[in-house]
Amino acid sequence: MTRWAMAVDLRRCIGCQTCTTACRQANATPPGVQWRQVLDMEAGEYPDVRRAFVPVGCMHCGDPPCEHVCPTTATKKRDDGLVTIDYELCIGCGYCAVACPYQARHIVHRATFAYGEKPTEPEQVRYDPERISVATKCTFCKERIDGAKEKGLTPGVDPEATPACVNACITETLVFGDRDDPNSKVSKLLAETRHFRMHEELGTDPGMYYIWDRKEQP
Amino acid sequence: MTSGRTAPWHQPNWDARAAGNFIFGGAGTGLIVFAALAHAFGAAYRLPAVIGFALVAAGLACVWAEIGRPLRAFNVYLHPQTSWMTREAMVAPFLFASGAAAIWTGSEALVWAAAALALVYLTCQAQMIRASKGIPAWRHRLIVPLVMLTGLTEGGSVAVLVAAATRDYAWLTWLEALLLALVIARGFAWYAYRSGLQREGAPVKALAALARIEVPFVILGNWGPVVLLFVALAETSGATAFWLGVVSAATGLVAGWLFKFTLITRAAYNQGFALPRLAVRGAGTPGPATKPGWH
Repeated sequence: MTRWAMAVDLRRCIGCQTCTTACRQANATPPGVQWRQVLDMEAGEYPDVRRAFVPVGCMHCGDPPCEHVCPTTATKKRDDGLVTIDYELCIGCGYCAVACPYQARHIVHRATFAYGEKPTEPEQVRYDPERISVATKCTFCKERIDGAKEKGLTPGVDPEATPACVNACITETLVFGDRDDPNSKVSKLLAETRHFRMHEELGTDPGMYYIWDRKEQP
Repeated sequence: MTSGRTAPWHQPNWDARAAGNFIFGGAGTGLIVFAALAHAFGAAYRLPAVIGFALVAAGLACVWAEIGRPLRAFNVYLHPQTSWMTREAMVAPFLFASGAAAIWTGSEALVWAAAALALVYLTCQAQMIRASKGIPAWRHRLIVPLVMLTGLTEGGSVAVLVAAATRDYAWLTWLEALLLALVIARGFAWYAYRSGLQREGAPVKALAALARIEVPFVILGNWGPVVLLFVALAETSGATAFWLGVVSAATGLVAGWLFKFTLITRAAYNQGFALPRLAVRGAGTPGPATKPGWH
Protein backbone atom coordinates (compact mmCIF):
# COMPACT_ATOMS: atom_id res chain seq x y z
CA MET A 1 0.00 0.00 0.00
CA THR A 2 0.92 3.64 -0.33
CA ARG A 3 0.14 6.42 2.12
CA TRP A 4 1.31 9.78 0.88
CA ALA A 5 2.37 11.88 3.83
CA MET A 6 4.32 15.01 4.65
CA ALA A 7 6.85 15.65 7.36
CA VAL A 8 7.33 19.18 8.64
CA ASP A 9 10.60 19.73 10.44
CA LEU A 10 9.71 22.52 12.85
CA ARG A 11 13.38 22.85 13.80
CA ARG A 12 14.10 24.17 10.34
CA CYS A 13 11.18 26.38 9.31
CA ILE A 14 12.04 30.09 9.22
CA GLY A 15 8.61 31.32 8.21
CA CYS A 16 9.69 32.64 4.82
CA GLN A 17 6.32 31.73 3.25
CA THR A 18 7.96 30.50 0.07
CA CYS A 19 5.81 27.36 0.30
CA THR A 20 2.69 29.53 0.53
CA THR A 21 3.68 31.52 -2.51
CA ALA A 22 4.64 28.41 -4.48
CA CYS A 23 1.32 26.80 -3.65
CA ARG A 24 -0.62 29.85 -4.71
CA GLN A 25 1.33 29.99 -7.96
CA ALA A 26 0.94 26.28 -8.67
CA ASN A 27 -2.73 26.09 -7.80
CA ALA A 28 -3.94 29.56 -8.79
CA THR A 29 -5.80 30.14 -5.56
CA PRO A 30 -7.61 33.49 -5.26
CA PRO A 31 -6.55 36.28 -2.88
CA GLY A 32 -7.11 35.34 0.75
CA VAL A 33 -7.10 31.61 0.06
CA GLN A 34 -3.95 29.81 1.10
CA TRP A 35 -4.01 26.06 0.84
CA ARG A 36 -0.55 26.01 2.42
CA GLN A 37 0.03 28.67 5.02
CA VAL A 38 2.69 29.17 7.67
CA LEU A 39 1.55 30.15 11.13
CA ASP A 40 3.68 32.37 13.29
CA MET A 41 3.05 31.17 16.83
CA GLU A 42 4.31 32.66 20.05
CA ALA A 43 4.25 30.74 23.31
CA GLY A 44 5.30 31.22 26.89
CA GLU A 45 5.70 34.30 29.03
CA TYR A 46 8.50 36.76 29.40
CA PRO A 47 11.36 36.04 29.76
CA ASP A 48 10.85 32.52 28.40
CA VAL A 49 9.06 33.26 25.16
CA ARG A 50 9.30 30.94 22.19
CA ARG A 51 8.38 31.41 18.58
CA ALA A 52 7.43 28.71 16.13
CA PHE A 53 6.72 28.76 12.42
CA VAL A 54 4.18 26.09 11.60
CA PRO A 55 3.19 25.15 8.05
CA VAL A 56 -0.42 23.95 7.98
CA GLY A 57 -3.05 22.93 5.47
CA CYS A 58 -5.09 19.86 4.67
CA MET A 59 -3.67 16.98 6.69
CA HIS A 60 -5.00 14.34 4.28
CA CYS A 61 -6.37 12.43 7.25
CA GLY A 62 -6.62 8.66 7.32
CA ASP A 63 -10.07 9.05 8.88
CA PRO A 64 -11.19 12.40 7.47
CA PRO A 65 -14.23 13.98 9.18
CA CYS A 66 -14.83 16.03 6.02
CA GLU A 67 -15.33 12.85 4.03
CA HIS A 68 -17.76 11.39 6.58
CA VAL A 69 -20.03 14.43 6.63
CA CYS A 70 -19.96 15.32 2.93
CA PRO A 71 -23.51 14.67 1.70
CA THR A 72 -22.56 14.45 -1.97
CA THR A 73 -19.48 12.18 -1.96
CA ALA A 74 -17.58 15.08 -3.54
CA THR A 75 -14.96 14.58 -0.84
CA LYS A 76 -13.27 11.23 -1.09
CA LYS A 77 -10.32 9.52 0.52
CA ARG A 78 -8.26 7.62 -2.00
CA ASP A 79 -6.48 4.37 -1.28
CA ASP A 80 -3.16 6.21 -1.39
CA GLY A 81 -4.27 8.54 1.41
CA LEU A 82 -5.05 11.63 -0.62
CA VAL A 83 -8.30 13.38 0.30
CA THR A 84 -9.82 14.86 -2.83
CA ILE A 85 -12.77 17.06 -3.83
CA ASP A 86 -14.83 16.60 -6.97
CA TYR A 87 -15.84 20.18 -7.82
CA GLU A 88 -18.62 18.98 -10.10
CA LEU A 89 -20.38 17.13 -7.29
CA CYS A 90 -19.85 19.64 -4.49
CA ILE A 91 -22.88 21.77 -3.58
CA GLY A 92 -20.94 24.20 -1.39
CA CYS A 93 -22.91 23.40 1.75
CA GLY A 94 -19.87 24.07 3.94
CA TYR A 95 -20.44 21.00 6.10
CA CYS A 96 -16.92 19.74 5.36
CA ALA A 97 -15.52 23.12 6.41
CA VAL A 98 -17.12 22.95 9.85
CA ALA A 99 -16.13 19.30 10.21
CA CYS A 100 -12.43 19.91 9.50
CA PRO A 101 -10.47 20.56 12.71
CA TYR A 102 -7.59 22.03 10.71
CA GLN A 103 -9.44 24.93 9.10
CA ALA A 104 -8.10 23.66 5.80
CA ARG A 105 -11.16 24.18 3.62
CA HIS A 106 -12.09 27.34 1.78
CA ILE A 107 -15.24 28.40 -0.03
CA VAL A 108 -15.35 31.60 -2.06
CA HIS A 109 -18.66 32.72 -3.50
CA ARG A 110 -17.45 35.29 -5.99
CA ALA A 111 -14.39 35.63 -8.14
CA THR A 112 -11.74 37.88 -6.64
CA PHE A 113 -8.48 38.99 -8.19
CA ALA A 114 -5.25 40.49 -6.99
CA TYR A 115 -5.88 43.97 -8.40
CA GLY A 116 -9.54 44.87 -8.20
CA GLU A 117 -12.47 43.50 -10.15
CA LYS A 118 -10.63 42.67 -13.37
CA PRO A 119 -8.29 39.71 -13.56
CA THR A 120 -4.75 40.14 -14.75
CA GLU A 121 -3.86 38.22 -17.88
CA PRO A 122 -2.38 35.23 -16.02
CA GLU A 123 -5.38 35.20 -13.67
CA GLN A 124 -7.73 35.27 -16.65
CA VAL A 125 -5.98 32.30 -18.21
CA ARG A 126 -6.09 30.22 -15.04
CA TYR A 127 -9.49 31.27 -13.74
CA ASP A 128 -11.68 28.22 -13.12
CA PRO A 129 -15.38 28.97 -12.59
CA GLU A 130 -15.85 25.43 -11.27
CA ARG A 131 -14.07 26.53 -8.10
CA ILE A 132 -16.61 29.19 -7.21
CA SER A 133 -19.06 28.33 -4.39
CA VAL A 134 -17.55 24.90 -3.80
CA ALA A 135 -15.08 23.70 -1.18
CA THR A 136 -11.41 23.78 -2.10
CA LYS A 137 -8.25 22.77 -0.26
CA CYS A 138 -4.70 21.47 -0.61
CA THR A 139 -4.53 18.48 -2.92
CA PHE A 140 -0.88 17.55 -2.22
CA CYS A 141 -0.59 18.53 -5.91
CA LYS A 142 -2.29 15.29 -6.88
CA GLU A 143 -1.89 15.84 -10.63
CA ARG A 144 1.85 15.58 -10.17
CA ILE A 145 1.55 12.46 -8.04
CA ASP A 146 -0.89 10.84 -10.44
CA GLY A 147 1.38 11.52 -13.39
CA ALA A 148 4.45 10.13 -11.65
CA LYS A 149 4.02 6.47 -12.48
CA GLU A 150 3.55 7.08 -16.18
CA LYS A 151 6.66 9.21 -16.27
CA GLY A 152 8.71 6.82 -14.16
CA LEU A 153 9.09 9.38 -11.39
CA THR A 154 8.94 9.08 -7.61
CA PRO A 155 6.87 11.60 -5.62
CA GLY A 156 8.99 13.17 -2.91
CA VAL A 157 12.17 12.48 -4.87
CA ASP A 158 11.62 13.89 -8.33
CA PRO A 159 10.51 17.54 -8.23
CA GLU A 160 8.15 17.06 -11.17
CA ALA A 161 6.16 14.56 -9.10
CA THR A 162 6.40 16.39 -5.77
CA PRO A 163 4.06 19.00 -4.25
CA ALA A 164 4.99 22.57 -5.14
CA CYS A 165 5.41 23.63 -1.51
CA VAL A 166 7.97 20.89 -0.89
CA ASN A 167 9.93 21.79 -4.00
CA ALA A 168 9.97 25.44 -3.02
CA CYS A 169 10.98 25.01 0.62
CA ILE A 170 14.40 26.61 1.00
CA THR A 171 15.25 25.00 4.34
CA GLU A 172 14.04 21.47 3.57
CA THR A 173 11.46 21.80 6.29
CA LEU A 174 8.88 20.03 4.14
CA VAL A 175 9.53 16.44 3.15
CA PHE A 176 7.07 14.36 1.14
CA GLY A 177 6.83 10.67 0.45
CA ASP A 178 5.26 7.30 1.03
CA ARG A 179 4.78 6.65 4.73
CA ASP A 180 4.24 2.95 4.05
CA ASP A 181 7.61 2.61 2.32
CA PRO A 182 10.27 2.26 5.02
CA ASN A 183 12.91 3.39 2.53
CA SER A 184 11.20 6.62 1.56
CA LYS A 185 12.81 9.86 2.65
CA VAL A 186 9.84 10.76 4.82
CA SER A 187 9.82 7.37 6.59
CA LYS A 188 13.56 7.51 7.26
CA LEU A 189 13.33 11.02 8.62
CA LEU A 190 10.46 10.14 10.91
CA ALA A 191 12.29 7.04 12.11
CA GLU A 192 15.18 9.12 13.40
CA THR A 193 13.22 11.99 14.93
CA ARG A 194 10.58 12.72 17.53
CA HIS A 195 7.35 14.02 16.07
CA PHE A 196 3.64 14.55 16.66
CA ARG A 197 0.54 15.06 14.56
CA MET A 198 -1.74 18.00 15.21
CA HIS A 199 -5.00 17.39 17.10
CA GLU A 200 -4.25 13.69 17.04
CA GLU A 201 -6.59 13.21 20.01
CA LEU A 202 -9.54 13.81 17.67
CA GLY A 203 -8.87 10.50 15.96
CA THR A 204 -8.43 11.88 12.46
CA ASP A 205 -5.16 10.04 11.72
CA PRO A 206 -3.60 13.07 10.01
CA GLY A 207 -1.02 12.61 7.28
CA MET A 208 1.23 15.51 8.30
CA TYR A 209 3.93 14.87 10.89
CA TYR A 210 5.59 17.66 12.85
CA ILE A 211 9.18 16.98 13.88
CA TRP A 212 10.31 18.70 17.08
CA ASP A 213 13.56 16.95 18.10
CA ARG A 214 15.94 14.18 17.17
CA LYS A 215 15.56 10.78 18.75
CA GLU A 216 17.70 10.28 21.82
CA GLN A 217 20.59 7.92 21.26
CA PRO A 218 20.39 4.73 23.32
CA MET B 1 2.35 37.82 14.55
CA THR B 2 3.32 37.97 10.92
CA SER B 3 0.75 35.59 9.52
CA GLY B 4 -2.13 33.27 10.16
CA ARG B 5 -4.60 33.03 12.98
CA THR B 6 -3.69 30.49 15.62
CA ALA B 7 -6.35 30.87 18.34
CA PRO B 8 -9.83 29.64 17.41
CA TRP B 9 -11.90 32.03 15.32
CA HIS B 10 -15.56 31.87 14.40
CA GLN B 11 -16.41 29.59 11.51
CA PRO B 12 -17.45 31.69 8.51
CA ASN B 13 -19.42 29.08 6.58
CA TRP B 14 -22.73 28.58 8.39
CA ASP B 15 -24.67 31.74 9.15
CA ALA B 16 -28.23 32.65 10.14
CA ARG B 17 -29.57 30.64 7.20
CA ALA B 18 -28.05 27.46 8.60
CA ALA B 19 -29.34 28.40 12.04
CA GLY B 20 -32.76 28.78 10.41
CA ASN B 21 -32.70 25.12 9.43
CA PHE B 22 -32.19 24.06 13.03
CA ILE B 23 -34.60 26.65 14.41
CA PHE B 24 -37.50 25.93 12.07
CA GLY B 25 -36.71 22.24 11.62
CA GLY B 26 -36.57 21.69 15.38
CA ALA B 27 -39.76 23.61 16.14
CA GLY B 28 -41.57 22.02 13.19
CA THR B 29 -40.67 18.43 14.00
CA GLY B 30 -41.41 19.02 17.68
CA LEU B 31 -44.82 20.38 16.73
CA ILE B 32 -45.56 17.38 14.49
CA VAL B 33 -44.80 15.07 17.43
CA PHE B 34 -46.98 17.16 19.74
CA ALA B 35 -49.79 17.27 17.18
CA ALA B 36 -49.86 13.47 17.19
CA LEU B 37 -49.88 13.34 21.00
CA ALA B 38 -52.66 15.92 21.19
CA HIS B 39 -54.60 14.05 18.54
CA ALA B 40 -54.49 11.01 20.84
CA PHE B 41 -56.28 13.15 23.44
CA GLY B 42 -58.90 14.09 20.88
CA ALA B 43 -57.60 17.45 19.73
CA ALA B 44 -57.62 18.63 16.12
CA TYR B 45 -54.59 17.46 14.13
CA ARG B 46 -54.77 19.39 10.93
CA LEU B 47 -53.79 22.94 11.92
CA PRO B 48 -50.82 22.18 14.21
CA ALA B 49 -49.60 19.58 11.74
CA VAL B 50 -49.81 21.99 8.80
CA ILE B 51 -47.88 24.61 10.80
CA GLY B 52 -45.30 21.98 11.76
CA PHE B 53 -44.70 20.92 8.17
CA ALA B 54 -44.55 24.55 7.07
CA LEU B 55 -41.84 25.18 9.66
CA VAL B 56 -39.80 22.17 8.50
CA ALA B 57 -40.19 23.37 4.90
CA ALA B 58 -39.02 26.84 5.94
CA GLY B 59 -35.93 25.26 7.51
CA LEU B 60 -35.14 23.36 4.33
CA ALA B 61 -35.61 26.55 2.32
CA CYS B 62 -33.03 28.19 4.58
CA VAL B 63 -30.54 25.41 3.77
CA TRP B 64 -31.23 25.75 0.08
CA ALA B 65 -30.55 29.48 0.34
CA GLU B 66 -27.29 28.75 2.15
CA ILE B 67 -25.61 26.31 -0.21
CA GLY B 68 -23.25 27.63 -2.83
CA ARG B 69 -24.61 25.57 -5.71
CA PRO B 70 -28.39 25.39 -5.19
CA LEU B 71 -29.05 23.91 -8.64
CA ARG B 72 -27.10 20.82 -7.61
CA ALA B 73 -29.08 20.42 -4.40
CA PHE B 74 -30.15 16.88 -5.26
CA ASN B 75 -26.53 15.72 -4.94
CA VAL B 76 -27.23 15.86 -1.22
CA TYR B 77 -28.74 12.38 -1.52
CA LEU B 78 -25.50 10.67 -2.51
CA HIS B 79 -23.95 9.78 0.84
CA PRO B 80 -26.38 8.11 3.26
CA GLN B 81 -23.65 5.75 4.50
CA THR B 82 -22.12 8.32 6.84
CA SER B 83 -23.54 11.81 6.25
CA TRP B 84 -26.26 13.02 8.62
CA MET B 85 -27.07 15.78 6.14
CA THR B 86 -27.92 13.16 3.53
CA ARG B 87 -29.98 11.24 6.07
CA GLU B 88 -31.90 14.35 7.02
CA ALA B 89 -32.60 15.02 3.35
CA MET B 90 -33.70 11.42 2.83
CA VAL B 91 -36.16 11.51 5.72
CA ALA B 92 -37.72 14.79 4.53
CA PRO B 93 -39.80 13.48 1.58
CA PHE B 94 -41.14 10.57 3.63
CA LEU B 95 -41.98 12.99 6.44
CA PHE B 96 -43.88 15.30 4.12
CA ALA B 97 -45.61 12.43 2.32
CA SER B 98 -46.78 10.75 5.52
CA GLY B 99 -47.86 14.10 6.94
CA ALA B 100 -49.82 15.05 3.85
CA ALA B 101 -51.48 11.64 3.82
CA ALA B 102 -52.26 11.87 7.54
CA ILE B 103 -53.83 15.29 7.14
CA TRP B 104 -55.76 14.16 4.07
CA THR B 105 -57.05 10.83 5.41
CA GLY B 106 -56.98 11.34 9.17
CA SER B 107 -55.48 7.88 9.53
CA GLU B 108 -54.13 7.22 13.05
CA ALA B 109 -51.33 5.07 11.69
CA LEU B 110 -50.16 7.82 9.37
CA VAL B 111 -50.34 10.41 12.15
CA TRP B 112 -47.99 8.29 14.26
CA ALA B 113 -45.79 7.48 11.25
CA ALA B 114 -45.35 11.21 10.64
CA ALA B 115 -44.52 11.76 14.32
CA ALA B 116 -41.94 8.96 14.24
CA LEU B 117 -40.35 10.39 11.08
CA ALA B 118 -40.31 13.84 12.67
CA LEU B 119 -38.34 12.39 15.57
CA VAL B 120 -35.91 10.76 13.15
CA TYR B 121 -35.53 14.07 11.32
CA LEU B 122 -34.82 15.86 14.59
CA THR B 123 -32.27 13.20 15.49
CA CYS B 124 -30.55 13.74 12.14
CA GLN B 125 -30.32 17.46 12.85
CA ALA B 126 -28.82 16.92 16.29
CA GLN B 127 -26.34 14.36 14.99
CA MET B 128 -25.46 16.66 12.10
CA ILE B 129 -24.27 19.26 14.58
CA ARG B 130 -22.38 16.70 16.62
CA ALA B 131 -20.55 15.34 13.56
CA SER B 132 -18.97 18.75 12.98
CA LYS B 133 -15.66 17.79 14.47
CA GLY B 134 -14.04 21.11 13.71
CA ILE B 135 -16.30 23.02 16.11
CA PRO B 136 -15.70 22.09 19.78
CA ALA B 137 -19.03 23.52 20.97
CA TRP B 138 -20.86 21.37 18.45
CA ARG B 139 -19.05 18.07 18.64
CA HIS B 140 -19.72 17.49 22.33
CA ARG B 141 -21.83 14.35 22.80
CA LEU B 142 -24.34 16.16 25.06
CA ILE B 143 -25.29 18.51 22.24
CA VAL B 144 -27.54 15.73 20.88
CA PRO B 145 -30.01 15.52 23.81
CA LEU B 146 -29.90 19.30 24.22
CA VAL B 147 -30.80 20.03 20.59
CA MET B 148 -33.48 17.34 20.58
CA LEU B 149 -35.05 18.52 23.82
CA THR B 150 -34.92 22.08 22.54
CA GLY B 151 -36.74 21.08 19.35
CA LEU B 152 -39.40 19.18 21.26
CA THR B 153 -39.83 22.06 23.72
CA GLU B 154 -40.27 24.49 20.86
CA GLY B 155 -42.81 22.15 19.27
CA GLY B 156 -44.69 21.90 22.56
CA SER B 157 -44.61 25.66 22.91
CA VAL B 158 -46.07 26.22 19.44
CA ALA B 159 -48.68 23.54 20.18
CA VAL B 160 -49.78 25.45 23.30
CA LEU B 161 -49.94 28.66 21.31
CA VAL B 162 -51.98 27.01 18.55
CA ALA B 163 -54.34 25.46 21.08
CA ALA B 164 -54.75 28.83 22.77
CA ALA B 165 -55.34 30.64 19.50
CA THR B 166 -57.93 28.12 18.33
CA ARG B 167 -59.51 27.85 21.80
CA ASP B 168 -58.97 24.10 21.68
CA TYR B 169 -58.88 23.93 25.49
CA ALA B 170 -59.70 20.26 25.96
CA TRP B 171 -56.10 19.14 25.83
CA LEU B 172 -54.37 22.31 27.01
CA THR B 173 -53.69 21.00 30.51
CA TRP B 174 -52.12 17.84 29.14
CA LEU B 175 -50.05 19.91 26.76
CA GLU B 176 -48.85 22.20 29.51
CA ALA B 177 -47.90 19.25 31.69
CA LEU B 178 -45.89 17.70 28.87
CA LEU B 179 -44.28 21.04 28.09
CA LEU B 180 -43.34 21.49 31.73
CA ALA B 181 -41.57 18.14 31.77
CA LEU B 182 -39.70 19.02 28.58
CA VAL B 183 -38.64 22.47 29.74
CA ILE B 184 -37.24 21.01 32.97
CA ALA B 185 -35.38 18.34 30.98
CA ARG B 186 -34.02 21.02 28.61
CA GLY B 187 -32.71 23.00 31.57
CA PHE B 188 -30.83 20.02 32.96
CA ALA B 189 -29.55 19.11 29.48
CA TRP B 190 -28.15 22.64 29.17
CA TYR B 191 -26.28 22.43 32.47
CA ALA B 192 -24.92 18.99 31.61
CA TYR B 193 -23.76 20.23 28.20
CA ARG B 194 -22.14 23.41 29.49
CA SER B 195 -20.38 21.79 32.41
CA GLY B 196 -19.21 18.99 30.10
CA LEU B 197 -17.83 21.54 27.67
CA GLN B 198 -16.02 23.42 30.44
CA ARG B 199 -14.64 20.22 31.93
CA GLU B 200 -13.42 18.79 28.65
CA GLY B 201 -12.17 22.09 27.24
CA ALA B 202 -13.43 24.50 24.62
CA PRO B 203 -12.35 27.78 23.05
CA VAL B 204 -12.64 30.60 25.56
CA LYS B 205 -14.71 32.70 23.17
CA ALA B 206 -17.18 29.86 22.59
CA LEU B 207 -17.73 29.49 26.32
CA ALA B 208 -18.14 33.25 26.61
CA ALA B 209 -20.77 33.26 23.84
CA LEU B 210 -22.71 30.55 25.66
CA ALA B 211 -22.33 32.35 28.98
CA ARG B 212 -23.93 35.44 27.44
CA ILE B 213 -27.24 33.62 26.94
CA GLU B 214 -27.34 32.23 30.47
CA VAL B 215 -29.85 34.88 31.58
CA PRO B 216 -32.10 35.18 28.49
CA PHE B 217 -32.10 31.48 27.63
CA VAL B 218 -31.78 29.66 30.92
CA ILE B 219 -33.06 31.98 33.64
CA LEU B 220 -35.78 33.87 31.77
CA GLY B 221 -36.42 31.47 28.90
CA ASN B 222 -36.28 28.17 30.72
CA TRP B 223 -36.79 28.42 34.47
CA GLY B 224 -39.19 31.32 34.00
CA PRO B 225 -41.61 29.17 31.99
CA VAL B 226 -41.15 26.32 34.48
CA VAL B 227 -42.45 28.55 37.28
CA LEU B 228 -45.27 29.91 35.12
CA LEU B 229 -46.33 26.44 34.00
CA PHE B 230 -46.34 25.18 37.58
CA VAL B 231 -48.62 28.04 38.56
CA ALA B 232 -50.77 27.55 35.46
CA LEU B 233 -51.30 23.87 36.25
CA ALA B 234 -52.08 24.60 39.90
CA GLU B 235 -54.33 27.53 39.09
CA THR B 236 -58.06 26.90 39.22
CA SER B 237 -59.02 30.06 37.38
CA GLY B 238 -59.28 29.24 33.69
CA ALA B 239 -58.28 32.65 32.40
CA THR B 240 -55.17 32.92 34.56
CA ALA B 241 -54.02 29.43 33.66
CA PHE B 242 -54.63 30.20 30.00
CA TRP B 243 -52.52 33.34 29.95
CA LEU B 244 -49.75 31.87 32.05
CA GLY B 245 -49.57 28.96 29.62
CA VAL B 246 -49.44 31.29 26.63
CA VAL B 247 -46.71 33.47 28.12
CA SER B 248 -44.59 30.50 29.19
CA ALA B 249 -44.95 28.86 25.76
CA ALA B 250 -43.98 32.04 23.93
CA THR B 251 -41.00 32.59 26.24
CA GLY B 252 -39.82 28.99 25.97
CA LEU B 253 -40.09 29.13 22.19
CA VAL B 254 -38.11 32.33 21.77
CA ALA B 255 -35.50 31.08 24.24
CA GLY B 256 -35.00 27.87 22.25
CA TRP B 257 -34.54 29.83 19.05
CA LEU B 258 -32.06 32.15 20.77
CA PHE B 259 -30.05 29.14 21.93
CA LYS B 260 -29.81 27.63 18.46
CA PHE B 261 -29.05 30.95 16.82
CA THR B 262 -26.25 31.47 19.34
CA LEU B 263 -24.94 27.94 18.95
CA ILE B 264 -24.62 28.23 15.18
CA THR B 265 -23.70 31.89 14.68
CA ARG B 266 -22.02 33.00 17.92
CA ALA B 267 -20.46 30.02 19.72
CA ALA B 268 -19.12 28.16 16.70
CA TYR B 269 -15.43 28.85 17.21
CA ASN B 270 -13.21 26.41 15.40
CA GLN B 271 -10.43 24.23 16.78
CA GLY B 272 -7.61 26.66 16.11
CA PHE B 273 -4.05 25.35 16.09
CA ALA B 274 -2.01 23.76 18.84
CA LEU B 275 1.42 22.30 19.34
CA PRO B 276 1.95 19.53 21.90
CA ARG B 277 5.67 20.48 21.84
CA LEU B 278 7.70 23.43 20.71
CA ALA B 279 10.61 22.37 18.57
CA VAL B 280 14.28 22.49 19.44
CA ARG B 281 15.94 25.49 17.79
CA GLY B 282 19.70 25.33 17.35
CA ALA B 283 21.37 24.02 20.49
CA GLY B 284 18.36 24.80 22.67
CA THR B 285 15.83 22.54 24.30
CA PRO B 286 12.27 21.71 23.28
CA GLY B 287 9.54 23.93 24.67
CA PRO B 288 6.21 23.20 26.32
CA ALA B 289 2.88 22.76 24.61
CA THR B 290 0.86 25.70 23.36
CA LYS B 291 -2.84 25.85 22.60
CA PRO B 292 -3.85 29.48 22.22
CA GLY B 293 -7.40 30.58 22.92
CA TRP B 294 -8.50 27.51 24.88
CA HIS B 295 -10.02 27.14 28.30
